[in-house]
Amino acid sequence: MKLNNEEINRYSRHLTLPEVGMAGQLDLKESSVLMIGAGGLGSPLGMYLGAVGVGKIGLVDFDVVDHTNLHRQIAHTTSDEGRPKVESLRDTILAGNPNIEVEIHNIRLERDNVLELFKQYDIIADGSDNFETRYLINDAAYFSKKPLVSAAIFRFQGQITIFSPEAGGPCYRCLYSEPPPASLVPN
Amino acid sequence: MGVVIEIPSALKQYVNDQDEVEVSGSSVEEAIGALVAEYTELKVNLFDENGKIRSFINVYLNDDDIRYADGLKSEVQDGDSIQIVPSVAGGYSTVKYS
Amino acid sequence: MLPGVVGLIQATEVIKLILDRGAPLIGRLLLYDAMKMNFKEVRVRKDPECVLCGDNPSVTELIDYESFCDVPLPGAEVPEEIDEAAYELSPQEFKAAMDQDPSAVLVDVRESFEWDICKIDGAQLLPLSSFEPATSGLDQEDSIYLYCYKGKRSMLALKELKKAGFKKLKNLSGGIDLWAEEVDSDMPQY
Repeated sequence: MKLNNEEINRYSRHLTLPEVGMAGQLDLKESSVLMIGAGGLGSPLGMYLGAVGVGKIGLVDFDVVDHTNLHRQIAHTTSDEGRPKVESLRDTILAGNPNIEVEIHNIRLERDNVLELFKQYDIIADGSDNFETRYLINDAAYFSKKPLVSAAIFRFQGQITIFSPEAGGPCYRCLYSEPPPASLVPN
Repeated sequence: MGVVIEIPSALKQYVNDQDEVEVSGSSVEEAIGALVAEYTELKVNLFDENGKIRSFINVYLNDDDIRYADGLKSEVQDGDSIQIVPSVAGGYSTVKYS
Repeated sequence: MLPGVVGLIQATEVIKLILDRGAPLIGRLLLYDAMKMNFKEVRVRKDPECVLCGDNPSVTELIDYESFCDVPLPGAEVPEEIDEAAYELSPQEFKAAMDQDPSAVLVDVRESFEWDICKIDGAQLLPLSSFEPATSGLDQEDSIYLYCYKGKRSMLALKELKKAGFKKLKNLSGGIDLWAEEVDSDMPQY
């Protein structure tokens, strides 16, 4: 795999960083990341992964852009209201960097589709908004032997870590063995 | 100087919106006991019916999980900090809302 | 703005994994607090008793996550089973019933921050978080019309009132959210 001249120019400030360089930029181009959630966390995550040149980005979300999303889900704009979030985020990512591939999965992540999906990517990034999905992703990442970069937020606090049992690290269940009671969800 | 317990935003409503509460005690159990004695509504949110810390809440003493020390019996000294960290998942709250 | 900061840290960690550079956040949980504006880090260890990745795993394939996460609230009273439909009124029915009921008392059981966004004229605020029939000041002789955001919390309050002996109770089906759609188009939705 090689970079074309446009890419060399685009990534030149990376190529001159010893920590990245041509080898690192090609690693980025050859890598693939599956993002779950195309909302508050997924917007900046996807936009940056795309801009720096991650070769293949997968987006999983089944929601559509709502007016109340716009103040924090910055990949979506007012004219995107009503569109599937994965489509809106894909367009924003590709507008920033057309050299990469963005695959969209406008589906709810389930037991029977998750393993097949994880197989196609190197790294899983969890930006989902519920515990069912978080435990599903954790277990599927473990069985697929894929590192899971996990981020979660509540009000003004955020929690970020990497679950990587295949590399000797803990998994989500090591951190929190059980979810909180379902009836605690505010309505 | 006592032991400082840091309160997560999900539980702040039970401690008059404070970020941290200073208590005294010689173990994590005593320190948290002093906290829930003062703020009684916190108790059901932190402990299960057997008096164990709920599985979706972790307690860290000076940044390490007490599960890997002596649990609630872990000794504390003045100046130590205890951090309560509930699991969060976007829109969810891990505390009693109603 | 919080998700922006957190999402970018997540992106940074993804890139570091790909480049195999630096110290990844493995075995460390980074806690960010926007209000205090501080970052803290706590240690996360592999649990040898973990049911998935521990020494004797019991979860060896994907499970039913819906039922795994359907944990009942410990110590909570299970609300009484009642025929909820008998108390539910659509927004139009709710308004019509109230307008011709001289003993109507309208009660909003949402929290005060929601009350500050919008409310139905004539309502009194009795947040469910501190709701007690005995200290509510409500009179059993009156007809109590309850609402919340979507109709679930007000049904919980209705059940408490019913248990306390109240008989004339109505619940706004769909809450103030549906009211804004069907009765008061000037009311903001949140």
